[in-house]
Amino acid sequence: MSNSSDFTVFIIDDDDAVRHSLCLMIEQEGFNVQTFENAENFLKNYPCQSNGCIILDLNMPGMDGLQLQEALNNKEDTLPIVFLTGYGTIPQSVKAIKAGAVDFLTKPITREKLLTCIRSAVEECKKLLHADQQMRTAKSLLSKLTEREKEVLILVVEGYSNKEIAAQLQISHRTVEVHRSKIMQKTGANHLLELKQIAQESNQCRLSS
Amino acid sequence: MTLFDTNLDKHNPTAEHLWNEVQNSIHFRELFDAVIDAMLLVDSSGQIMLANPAAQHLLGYTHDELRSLDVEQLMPARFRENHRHYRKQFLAEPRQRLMGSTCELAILNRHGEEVAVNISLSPIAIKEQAAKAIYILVTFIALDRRRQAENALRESEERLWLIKQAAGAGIFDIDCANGRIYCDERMRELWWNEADEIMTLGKFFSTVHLSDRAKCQKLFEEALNPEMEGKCRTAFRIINGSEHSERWIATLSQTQFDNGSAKRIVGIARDITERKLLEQTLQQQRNETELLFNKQVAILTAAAIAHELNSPLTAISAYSEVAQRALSVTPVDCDKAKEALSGCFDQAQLAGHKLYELIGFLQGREIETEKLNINRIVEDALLQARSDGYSEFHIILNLEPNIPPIKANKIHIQRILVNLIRNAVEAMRAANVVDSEITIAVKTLASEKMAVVTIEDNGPGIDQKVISQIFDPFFTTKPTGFGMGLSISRALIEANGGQLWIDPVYQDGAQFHFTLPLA
Repeated sequence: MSNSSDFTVFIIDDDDAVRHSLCLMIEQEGFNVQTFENAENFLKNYPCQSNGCIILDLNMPGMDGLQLQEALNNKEDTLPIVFLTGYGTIPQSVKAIKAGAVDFLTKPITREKLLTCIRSAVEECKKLLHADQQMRTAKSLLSKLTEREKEVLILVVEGYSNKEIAAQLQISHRTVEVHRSKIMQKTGANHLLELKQIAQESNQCRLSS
Repeated sequence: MTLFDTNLDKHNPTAEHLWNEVQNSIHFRELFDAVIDAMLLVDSSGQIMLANPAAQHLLGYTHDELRSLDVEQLMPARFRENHRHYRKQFLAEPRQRLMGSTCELAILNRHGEEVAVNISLSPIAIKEQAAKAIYILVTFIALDRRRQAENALRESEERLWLIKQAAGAGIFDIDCANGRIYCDERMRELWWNEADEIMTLGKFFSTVHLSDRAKCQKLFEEALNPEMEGKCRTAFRIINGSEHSERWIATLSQTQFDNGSAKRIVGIARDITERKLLEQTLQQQRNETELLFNKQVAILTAAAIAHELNSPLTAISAYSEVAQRALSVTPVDCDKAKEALSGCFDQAQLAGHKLYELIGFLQGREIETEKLNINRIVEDALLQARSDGYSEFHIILNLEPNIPPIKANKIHIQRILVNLIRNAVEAMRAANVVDSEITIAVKTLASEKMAVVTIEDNGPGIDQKVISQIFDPFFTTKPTGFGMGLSISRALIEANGGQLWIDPVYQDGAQFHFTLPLA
């Protein structure tokens, strides 16, 4: 399947047979598969790739699934995680889901359920990629602004009127109007709402930094 | 008898002079008669010469009667021999002394009754026609025995009263001849009796709880048996029919026998209802804790099994689906199918092996067996069950005396027996069986080198519909049961080389049998 050919599924499980059988199963669906026998090994060796998902065993010797999830979250890694567990307890699954897990499957699993999870992970990745794309676009649009224009933009997005902005920046009302029209021109925004969205996508108005 | 001298050794002229003065003013006889202690003047042969009125009163004789008596005739027979001996010693070296300062002395009065006294002796030398004769002045100090006895009795009664108050004990006194029971106030209170109500043995037994009545009657028979000690300590329940209330009573009694037959039984009774309730609560808590613990053990065991089997099952399931897919695509992917099926086989083998290892681990390898007397284990198990709060049944033991030893693990067998007894009691409780009875029989099957233990109860028995399931794990008919008792028991018996089964046709309750190999 062409849509899944560039998507990699990382399987992390301490049991050889589970890794092997799941690997065969997922490969049959046309995905790339990489297997790791423990969480530490994965952290050390996984390629920096944003198009993929992790099939993660919850109970492993050494670093367990929840700890790996936390480590990845700390690294702001966005790979979706599907948890597998032998005896899934409710508190653990709640914790995992809250921390952003896509799903939680109890062993033994079925192809159907696993693929449903992988597919939603694929969708999740697409969304993340799209958001990432938008952020990059927005950032590049905003990078064209002068420092003064950035200052005006912040105040505009926060909802101040031209008059208030002029008073705050100690410039004339007319100058504010000129800056605003330049901002709209450079970002290609048609109206205030679009401008706000661009500002948000570029990472929550952290423009001054 | 006009002169006497108390100092024989030193013939003191001054004293003699003084005495002459005295005897001139007071006649000796007047002085002698006026003394309030009983006094006798006795000659060296023991003949009574004089007796003062106090002595006449104490002994109950007239003066003339006493004068005709020898002092030894006043002695109780057991002192006479010694007395003669002492009199000789005294005369050889006469001086003032107190007899019986260390032991209790007594003299006989006119009616032959003993009067407890202290006796003091004083030698007196009297001049008689130029010769000096020795007389002995005997003084009796009567001991007030009656007052002492009364005091002692009063003190002991006071003590008894205090003990009764403190213990809340009632006192009963059974007249064995007519079956009447004297009860004190507290006893009547314990039995909900009116003050004027006459208590009899018949009434007594009718108040005893049905389940305890046979036991009480048996103990009463034993208390009457002169060949036994007559001491009886027991506890039972009594019922107040009109108030529908129940009370636990503990009694301690002693039978008094007269000519080889029981005359009366005296004892105390105490209300131990609170203690019993507390015991029951504690027992219930212990049982609940045990159940909880057993549940935890079962859950952990199941979790361990699940953990061991889950990975191979996961792999087998995935391999199967891989093989299925490999065989359903065109062209058929034979290599993948083979690879997956081979994985299935390996994992199924692995799962079996893991399971075998785990069971071996849980059983703790070989069980330790020893030579055991099965009769003793039955008795121990009964004690254990009773102390666990399963005690209200009547037991019939048909043990085989001189049974050869079995070879088994003591703890396992005791546990199995306790479990079977508990099941029986719980079944009879649930069915409100009044005269609950458990029979345990032990015999040997010499031909098969096995001992057979049979436990039967007179409860409702086991429903034919479920009789085939009762040894299944987690099967239970009890509301709070866990359903592991019989399956564990069967596993343990089999581990000890025996078998456990239920008689499916037994009609009068439930009947279980198990066998164990002889050593």
